[in-house]
Amino acid sequence: MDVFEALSAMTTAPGVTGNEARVSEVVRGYFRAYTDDISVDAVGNTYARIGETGPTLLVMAHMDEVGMMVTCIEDNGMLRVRSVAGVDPRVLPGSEVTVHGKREIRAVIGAKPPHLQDSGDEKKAYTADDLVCDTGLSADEVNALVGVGDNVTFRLEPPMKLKNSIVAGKTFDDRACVAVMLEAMDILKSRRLNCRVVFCGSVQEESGGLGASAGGYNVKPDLAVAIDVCHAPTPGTKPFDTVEMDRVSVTTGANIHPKVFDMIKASAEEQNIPWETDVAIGATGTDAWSLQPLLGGIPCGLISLPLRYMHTSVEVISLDTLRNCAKVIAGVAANLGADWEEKLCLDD
Amino acid sequence: MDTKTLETILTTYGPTGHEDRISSVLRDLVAPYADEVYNDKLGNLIALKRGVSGKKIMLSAHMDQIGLVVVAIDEKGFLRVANVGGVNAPLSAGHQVVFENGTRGAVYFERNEKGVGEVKMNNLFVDIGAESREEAEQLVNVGDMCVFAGRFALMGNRLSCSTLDDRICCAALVEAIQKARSEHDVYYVFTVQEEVGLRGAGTAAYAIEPDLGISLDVTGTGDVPEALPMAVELGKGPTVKVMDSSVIVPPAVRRFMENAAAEAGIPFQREVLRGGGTDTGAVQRTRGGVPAGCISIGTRYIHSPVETCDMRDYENAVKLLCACLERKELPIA
Repeated sequence: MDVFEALSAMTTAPGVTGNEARVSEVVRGYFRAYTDDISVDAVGNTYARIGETGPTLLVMAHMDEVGMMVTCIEDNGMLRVRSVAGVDPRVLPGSEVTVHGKREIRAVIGAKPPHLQDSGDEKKAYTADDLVCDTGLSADEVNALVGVGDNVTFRLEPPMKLKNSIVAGKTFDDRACVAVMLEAMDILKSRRLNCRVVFCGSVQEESGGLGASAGGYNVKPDLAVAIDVCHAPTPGTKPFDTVEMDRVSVTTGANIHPKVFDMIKASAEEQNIPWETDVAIGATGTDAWSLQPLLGGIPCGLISLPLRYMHTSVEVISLDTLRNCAKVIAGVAANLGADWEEKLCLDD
Repeated sequence: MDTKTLETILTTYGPTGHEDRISSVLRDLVAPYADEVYNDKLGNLIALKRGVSGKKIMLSAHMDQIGLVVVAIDEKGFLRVANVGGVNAPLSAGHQVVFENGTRGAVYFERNEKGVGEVKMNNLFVDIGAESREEAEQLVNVGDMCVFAGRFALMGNRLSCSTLDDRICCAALVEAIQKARSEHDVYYVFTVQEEVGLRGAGTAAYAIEPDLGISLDVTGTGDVPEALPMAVELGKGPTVKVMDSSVIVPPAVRRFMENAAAEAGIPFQREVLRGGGTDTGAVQRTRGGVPAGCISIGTRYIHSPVETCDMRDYENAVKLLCACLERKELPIA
């Protein structure tokens, strides 16, 4: 599988939180290479199932992306926008964006220039209310093409390749981890499985995990592993908040079942994959957090791909580490069999 | 709906957790039109009107209202209070309140150096006319809740009352159960405890397992002086919710509502509410996920004693709801 090609196709499909239908279609297209057992549930979660017997492992990476929404159209045709989930208004001025109206419209995010600001304002960051989304179209054209509630995304550009398998682009959070699932399916296609694996591209992770709570309820898994991105070091970050770009992050903490952690760790070590323990004392802020308390409790694990500049249009990851994440999750699935209950048992 | 019935729905006591009185008023109003009426264990009032399609639609409007709860009574008989739901402290000062037993009170604040705008809940007190703690305790106990004394004011097409959130939508459900024709099983649910975190609606949806949820609630507007940008105005029609803090409505559900409005010639506005949640979010999140949307009535000054809406929006909200219920095909994600 050409992971860069898949990543390009998935990150250029719009899928702002709550409106994931188009990216779901692209994801289903890739799922089809590995299974016919594909479905979409009532909230839009997109599933692919492999394996026929044994325990059910749910592997989940979210399809939704942070984005914006038109809240108001000014008399002059300028659009007012707000974050749907997770876009930081401070990174927006000067951004190229796409407005998803009756057709896709290129636009920019602008603000009052520094020359015209009141004194003291130069020290303050722009807030969402200071920003406008400018399509260059006349008010009449805008009103014909755009409505309140239409989504606005970062410009739908394919990622760019930097050196050493490093790539930069929009929406690697969390489409890069959907690509991890595809890579894992690619590895597992030649393996005989003693478990069922349900791969789920989930919806609405960024707004609090609706997809995970609906998905966990629908799949009723015996155990689940969420795959998400975590922070890689950049100047000013602290070591305990970050994981190096070339390592697979494996989380431990209250959100994580100790034995699922052990399974993930064993898979990484068996395959000599560089990994690092990430400690999350409480909430992980991922689908694992929404999955854990469902249906009397689901044993959860979390694998993360280190990423720089989260929630911007230039998120940076390593494709080598992406592939390693896939090997780790594939190893967890391949090792899972009839003895799963013993392996999860905490009394030893 | 006649004005007297509307006034009764709006002014009956029912802060969060104490919805039995308003529940019984609403029960009497819907019972003649329902096949079944019951309260669930949390207190949600549920009226079922059966259809033939085998599909279930759950409608919801919350019957609880925000209020103040007595936390202490001082030696002079003044009550100290905390908020039940999103009560704004400065906006409460200078208003009359009423308790379940009819005891009236005046809300005011500690007049030290602070202006009323800086007042916090801790600075408020309620004067019920008592001259001592003992006298106050004859009328009110710690834990009792009071609500703004609902003053119902018709102002041309517009209506002002402290309880429009969400009794105006309870009225809309009462009117809809009389008018709507639907081939689906329609559950008219008057929910409890919305104001403290959408607690009733999720429980009701869990038991009902609907194929579609439609909530009705009030929403903000951008049409008063110096309002934050919001594309909702009074009198321009009910709104079809796009999102609020609790929910992003699936595009398929929005299209379903917008198509119903367009085909019936009902004006509507799209609503992006910047802050505040609705039962929609709780319904959507139930079990394996429920397609859920919301019809809102634009309301100025929400969570103040003078909430104000336009009765033409109310009437069109009822029409839009009926148009949705009449559709054969329900939206799927």
